[in-house]
Amino acid sequence: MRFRDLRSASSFRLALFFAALFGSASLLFVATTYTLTTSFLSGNPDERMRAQAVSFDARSPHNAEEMIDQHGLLDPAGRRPFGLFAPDGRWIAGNLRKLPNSLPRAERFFETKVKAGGEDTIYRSFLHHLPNGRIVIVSRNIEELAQFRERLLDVTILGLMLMALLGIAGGTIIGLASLRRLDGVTLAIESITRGDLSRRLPARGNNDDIDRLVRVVNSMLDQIERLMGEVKGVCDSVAHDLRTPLTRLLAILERAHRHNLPADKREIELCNAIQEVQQMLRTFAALLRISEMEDGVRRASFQEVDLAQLIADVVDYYEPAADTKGISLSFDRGLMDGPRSISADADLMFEALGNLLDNAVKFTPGGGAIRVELADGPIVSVTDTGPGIAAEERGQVAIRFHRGTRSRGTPGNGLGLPLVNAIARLHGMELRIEDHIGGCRVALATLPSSLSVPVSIQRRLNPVNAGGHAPAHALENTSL
Amino acid sequence: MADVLIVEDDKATAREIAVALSDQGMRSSHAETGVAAIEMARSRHYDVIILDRMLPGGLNGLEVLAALRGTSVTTPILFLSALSAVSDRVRGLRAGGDDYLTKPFDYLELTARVDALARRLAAPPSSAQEVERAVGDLHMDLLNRRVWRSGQEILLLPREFALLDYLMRHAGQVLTRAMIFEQVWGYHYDAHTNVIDVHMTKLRRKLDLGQKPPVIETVRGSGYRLVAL
Repeated sequence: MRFRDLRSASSFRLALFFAALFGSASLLFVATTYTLTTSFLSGNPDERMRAQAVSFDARSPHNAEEMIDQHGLLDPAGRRPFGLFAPDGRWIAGNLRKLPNSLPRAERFFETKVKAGGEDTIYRSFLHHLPNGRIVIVSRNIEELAQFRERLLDVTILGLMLMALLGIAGGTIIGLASLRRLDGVTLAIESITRGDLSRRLPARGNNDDIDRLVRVVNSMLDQIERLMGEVKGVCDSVAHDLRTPLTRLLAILERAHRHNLPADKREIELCNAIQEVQQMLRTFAALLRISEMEDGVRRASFQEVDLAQLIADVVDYYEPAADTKGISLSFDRGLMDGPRSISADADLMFEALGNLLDNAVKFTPGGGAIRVELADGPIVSVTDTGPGIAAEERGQVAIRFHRGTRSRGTPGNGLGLPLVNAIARLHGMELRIEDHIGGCRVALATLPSSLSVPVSIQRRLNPVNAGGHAPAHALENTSL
Repeated sequence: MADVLIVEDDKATAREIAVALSDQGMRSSHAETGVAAIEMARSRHYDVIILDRMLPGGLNGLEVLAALRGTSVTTPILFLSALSAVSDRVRGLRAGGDDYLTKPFDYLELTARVDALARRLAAPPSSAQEVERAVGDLHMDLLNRRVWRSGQEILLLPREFALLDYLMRHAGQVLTRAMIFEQVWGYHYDAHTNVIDVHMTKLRRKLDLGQKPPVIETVRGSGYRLVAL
């Protein structure tokens, strides 16, 4: 039900709250105005009346009677009726001829309603006891004042009612509008929760606060959808890539079982089976390492590493393998001779460069050449005379299990370059693949620091390392 | 015969480890919890302790290690862990562990490493002034970095020399590719250790001089061993 929802809509509550707040303030304002105005309008004449009444004290009784009669003559319309009465209430003089039925208290102002000519007229009077016991009443017609007060009250009440009405109506409209808006968002979220990840929250396009929130959530959903797609792709690939070695494993074991092989042959088959399992475990290990790297937590083990020495070690490690294939492998340090210090995880760096060289050795035909270069940046590049990676496939090297069309028929699990990519990103580097005369060049290029891991993460992982000096105890900065 | 204490809460894993160790001629005892492990390690001598990082009950592997080291038990400790992430290996080694293996592991890898730890303890402390080494008909001059086999000099590249040095220091032991890579190249990572084979082939070819019987044995499924001839 719409209106029941309305009561809990925050915008509606807010509107009502402000209406109430503004109403209270207005009420206070009007009340003050009312009191001040009426007391001002009646205050001065009151003082005059009291003075007039008291002035009779000083006159002789006769003189007082004359004055009052004279006043009566000057006020034929009865706007300011005066009256002089004996202590027993008998009329003596003046155009006010009768005391009120119940005698009001002396020396006080009081108001009386008098019916005259079918209309009520209100008088304000002051009753004063003269020293000789007589009673003098000084009055004035306050019809206008009363009317003013009445009108003021009416207008105030009307205004407040109007305000309350407008407040509720406005709140309802705003509340309903935001409810309708949120209903759209809620519906979208519900359908996303049910699994429709392609659904997006409706934006109105007016760039208001909710719109901005909606856009942020939508871009978050984009990211989630992309990641989910990737995860699904990886799951499919894992399932597919594991089925192949598992099938082989099953075949080996079944054959060994069925054929009742002699001991030496069985031994060979068992070794084959073990190798298959080891290969599967390596695949899992690589997957785990990639996701570990993507968490970015490995930075904890960063230390100062001499990149030139590290490259020399990798090249040295792969040199015999290249040599065996008749490939020449060389390392060009560029113009710099000394150490090239960077903050890195040496094991991971070795692994990344090792993977690149492993690929280069694997895919470069015999008689070819592989050149490793270290340039300013620092940029490490591996240039080979192999077939390279087709331009349209380069964007996919970071996707796990993706194997290029040119790698068919060679061993590999499709996790090498994704791993390199993950390690590169962890080090604030970028994996670049380019064509090169007669071959292909793969490079790890250091990005400007602003493009790499967000500063907040860096700080969390390695607070002491902000200045670029990795302390030997960097590990202590993370805890289990 | 080396005595090994296995601290592992999973009975099946512990049994497999025990069998693998006994295949290599090692005796083993088993503790399921950290508390039991500390009691056993204090009550008698072990050559190596295989310690699971994650244990049930109050004490995890790192805490058991701290408790042992706190009571001057200096037995070499090999960590076993299902944790591969967050530089767990480095943390385990920093805490005072002597080696670290991530599950799932190869049993030959495990026994080779346990064997290496046990021998390290048994071997007399190598003096810093050691200037030469001899295993069988192999002779090594560490100062001038020269190698002879049966009196005939063999010219080795620096890396080949380092490789042979490592093999000779651990003559008779099974050395896995991962161990060789860690010790000789000084980095840690598991993949592509088959590149070691190429290095080994080259070294072998030089050492065997074309006709002599091979001094480096391949241990199927795990690694290499230098034999004294």
